[in-house]
Amino acid sequence: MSDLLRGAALSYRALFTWLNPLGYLSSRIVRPIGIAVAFTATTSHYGAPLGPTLVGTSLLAGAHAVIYGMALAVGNERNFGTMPIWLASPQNILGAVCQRALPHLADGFVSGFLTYLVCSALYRNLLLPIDVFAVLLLLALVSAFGTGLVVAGLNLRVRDTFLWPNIAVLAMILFSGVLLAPAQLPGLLRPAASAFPLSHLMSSVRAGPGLGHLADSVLAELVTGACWAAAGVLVVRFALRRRPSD
Amino acid sequence: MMVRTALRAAVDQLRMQGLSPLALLSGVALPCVFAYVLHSYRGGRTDAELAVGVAGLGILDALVVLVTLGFLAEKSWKTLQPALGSPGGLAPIVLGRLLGMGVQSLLSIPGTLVFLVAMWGLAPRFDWPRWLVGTAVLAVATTSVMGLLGFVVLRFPFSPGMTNGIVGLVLSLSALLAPVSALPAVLRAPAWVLPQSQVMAWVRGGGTGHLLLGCLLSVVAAVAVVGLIRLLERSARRQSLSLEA
Repeated sequence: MSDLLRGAALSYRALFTWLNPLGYLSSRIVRPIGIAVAFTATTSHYGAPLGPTLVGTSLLAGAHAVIYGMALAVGNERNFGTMPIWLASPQNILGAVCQRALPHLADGFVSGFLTYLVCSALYRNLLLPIDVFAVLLLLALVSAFGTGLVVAGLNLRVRDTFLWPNIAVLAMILFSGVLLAPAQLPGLLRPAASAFPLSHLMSSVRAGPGLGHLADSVLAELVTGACWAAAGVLVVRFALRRRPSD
Repeated sequence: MMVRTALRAAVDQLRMQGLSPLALLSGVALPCVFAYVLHSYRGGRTDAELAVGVAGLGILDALVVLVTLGFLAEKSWKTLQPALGSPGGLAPIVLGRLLGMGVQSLLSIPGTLVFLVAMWGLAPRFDWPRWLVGTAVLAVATTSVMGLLGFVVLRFPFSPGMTNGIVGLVLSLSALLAPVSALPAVLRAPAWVLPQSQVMAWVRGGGTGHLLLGCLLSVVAAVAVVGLIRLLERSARRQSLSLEA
């Protein structure tokens, strides 16, 4: 266990280039809070309920941290010129990618939780009690981990570290129900929306603050996360079979 | 001589980065996604407010990417020190590059309008003068404000990730998506300091005073950028400030 955590901490220090006071503050605190404020202001201006947007953008902040963190944990091996050495080492690469996700899961929790607290204070609106939101955030992080695994696998092959995480987060903004209810999507895209992380959590948040709604979405969200993780395993294995670009 | 060097630097920027995929993604794709979200809240056809706000978002995002990557590239290529030793000094080259980035970001204006028109059509009495003046002033305002970011990138050692929050911060305060009155009370006063929020207030039907104030604040930011780049030049010469850290 201690080896697992030590390896995770080492990769975090070595590969998470935003781990400096300004980089961390800017990427993990200011950016998500700024975006949450902008969208919550937009929601309130057009008369839609504030709460779901506030919860959704906070969950998205956590997912964003996990997806970008995992992308950096692989992409920076290439940027630092150590990708060939890493891939040639006897380490289980899939296991290593999962291990490297651990600090970003913790980071995602901090980022999402702080975004929720700050925005709730700014808007004086606490849709969900803190403990319920914390549980939702943990679930969101689990399903975002699956998406992060897919992105990390793609980064084994793709030179641009930020291309796939950018696309993944843009798709989540549109389809995960964070900012738009599924009914607001074009008819053809509605079924696809439920395949995105956070979509089930957001459906229950939009249905009302009762715990009964939330309980229903837990299993669906976990299954969604597991499907993304399975896809991620396949992408990593496929990327490793072919010679990754260095 | 100085103007020619600056124009040459602007042309170089366009020649090297004119069709950068990252700039296209940030300047056109991202605002189109946000436009979809915005439209789902408000519905209806594209009016000047929606078109200017979405274009402004594209300009902002493209400029953050271009300013950060462009000046970091100069640092890594170690071209700033030779520029400092050139007859015109550093300022015309840096300001020319900034001008080129501003011109490059203009792609967001037609790029987002084409998307908006294709998706939802134009409102029957689309206010073309307000759209044209609004986007033009917004482009100048955003370039001036992002010039300050350029100074920070050039002056201080770069910490990876330090510019990631700029889009979130400026987006929340610039009233591109919703008016300043929709912001939490504590953020309204700082929002009015940004020229973008004044321009957007005019685009939303506010008085000409907002537009004039937006122009004035843009000029103040531009003058500050020129002054700061001159100061940087002096510090680099007199105090041996390293420009490549």
